[in-house]
Amino acid sequence: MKRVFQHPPEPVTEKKYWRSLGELSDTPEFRQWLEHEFPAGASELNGDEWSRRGFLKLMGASMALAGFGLNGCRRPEAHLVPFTKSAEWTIPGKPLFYATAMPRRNGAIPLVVTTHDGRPTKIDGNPLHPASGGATDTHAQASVLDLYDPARSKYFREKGKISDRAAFEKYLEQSRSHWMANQGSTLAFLAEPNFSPTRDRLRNELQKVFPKVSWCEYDPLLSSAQAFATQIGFGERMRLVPRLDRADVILALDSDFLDCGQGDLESVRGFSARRRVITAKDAMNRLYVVENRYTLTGAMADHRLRVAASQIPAFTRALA
Amino acid sequence: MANFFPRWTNWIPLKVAICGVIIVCGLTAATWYYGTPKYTRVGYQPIQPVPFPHDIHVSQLGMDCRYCHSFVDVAAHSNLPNTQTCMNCHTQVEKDNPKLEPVRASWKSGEPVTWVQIHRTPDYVFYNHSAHVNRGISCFSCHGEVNHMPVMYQAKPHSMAWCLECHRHPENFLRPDDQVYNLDWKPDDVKPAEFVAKYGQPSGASEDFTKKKKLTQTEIGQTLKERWNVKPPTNCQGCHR
Repeated sequence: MKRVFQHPPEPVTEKKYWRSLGELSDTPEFRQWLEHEFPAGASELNGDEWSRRGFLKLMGASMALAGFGLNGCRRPEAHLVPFTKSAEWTIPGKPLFYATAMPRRNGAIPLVVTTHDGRPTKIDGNPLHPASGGATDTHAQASVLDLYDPARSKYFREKGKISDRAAFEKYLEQSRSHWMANQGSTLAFLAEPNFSPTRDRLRNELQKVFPKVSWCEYDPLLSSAQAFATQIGFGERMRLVPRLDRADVILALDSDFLDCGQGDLESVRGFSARRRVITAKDAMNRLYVVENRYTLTGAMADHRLRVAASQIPAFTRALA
Repeated sequence: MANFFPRWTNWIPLKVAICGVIIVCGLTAATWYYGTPKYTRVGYQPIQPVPFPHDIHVSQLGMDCRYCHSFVDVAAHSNLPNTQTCMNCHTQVEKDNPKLEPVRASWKSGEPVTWVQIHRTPDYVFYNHSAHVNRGISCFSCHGEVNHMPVMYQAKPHSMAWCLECHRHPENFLRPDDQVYNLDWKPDDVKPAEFVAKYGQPSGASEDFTKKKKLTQTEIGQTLKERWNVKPPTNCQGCHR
């Protein structure tokens, strides 16, 4: 016997209860959407003669009948699919390594990418480079998946429609003559900050051709406070590169320097180098953290003080 | 005295005999099918997208195996040629042959040609092509007279007993390392004086090989086995690892 679940009727009261704005308005579109919310066809299989049970019965019988042909007893035909064009330098079954770098806010992480048959399979830090020493962070490790991202652009597009290379080159040629006429004053580049010397060189070349080009860099997470502070302290805008492997006592004022999302592997390695005690002479460093939220650095701290962000200048003054 | 056995028991011997015959026949049929080359697929010759004639390419044109199977001596896996390798010649030679249409289509579209696999090593067997061809085991030993095949087929059983035939007595199959890709090589082709000058002769040889007119396969194999210290594994984990 089939059991069709019916929602218990609402008790008749003065008030009408609703669970969403869609239910309150009760439009036909909403009802249709509600029916399709559950797996495809679930509402179709409910109640009428094509019930789930009937469907399984029929499919089971047809599978059993298919077995009579004993097609499954044949050895399956296997296929060999070589490349269309050779992948350079690869030997089947042997890894091929490429040294590369991944741009980060504070520079770049030197990487070694393992490839098999021309396909990248693993990303690790470059052990020969002091900025990595073989280490990476979570973003670099996961970035191997970016290379297989189906959302990566594969075509030339114009206003959302797939175009081709010739159309793009034609557009570029036309625009170029237009920009040459006005020295690039209607041309602007939006970019993320990047430490690539190649990009700097190309940017300089662009500026020679189009002197009035605007080049705008923006990073929503970039902190310019450090540069501001160093300008006051040392008279020059600088980035601090602490040598944490030489520090005996570290005080972090609202500074999450162990968060590897910053891409600053050197400070992580420098800090952890002084946490290992192998011989009797080795001494550990000591980490004091003053912060307004619980961070990775706070978790590693020997002494942690919770202070509101607004109170940290006061703490610093008291310390001084 | 009552009748101990009811009347129907009279048929039991006949029933047992019939069942026995059926079981024996079934076992025989199963062994016949699974225990002979029919099951190991000797002679398996599937229809390929292109009926590639090895005999024309190798015997008539004198191409080396490694022109197409280019990684056989450096990798465990012997590769099939990619479309680019075919098109090296077939942009000029036989460029309108209708049999080559799948190759041209692949070159145009970038979709690879899907060949049907003939020689299949199970996943639980480790086989290294380079280890074999670099130590005097010819392509011929496992793939047969490929240079005379108009269309490729499986020539040898590739069963475990067949592997062990050579792993137990490699001297019956080893040949000089410069003749590995010469599938027409015969032991009679070897000139004893040149062979001894290059590879020496086994320490336990009863006679001087240079004085002989011809060398047998066993004599050549024994020499190379000693010379290259060939010790094929015959334990399970040699290949099942």
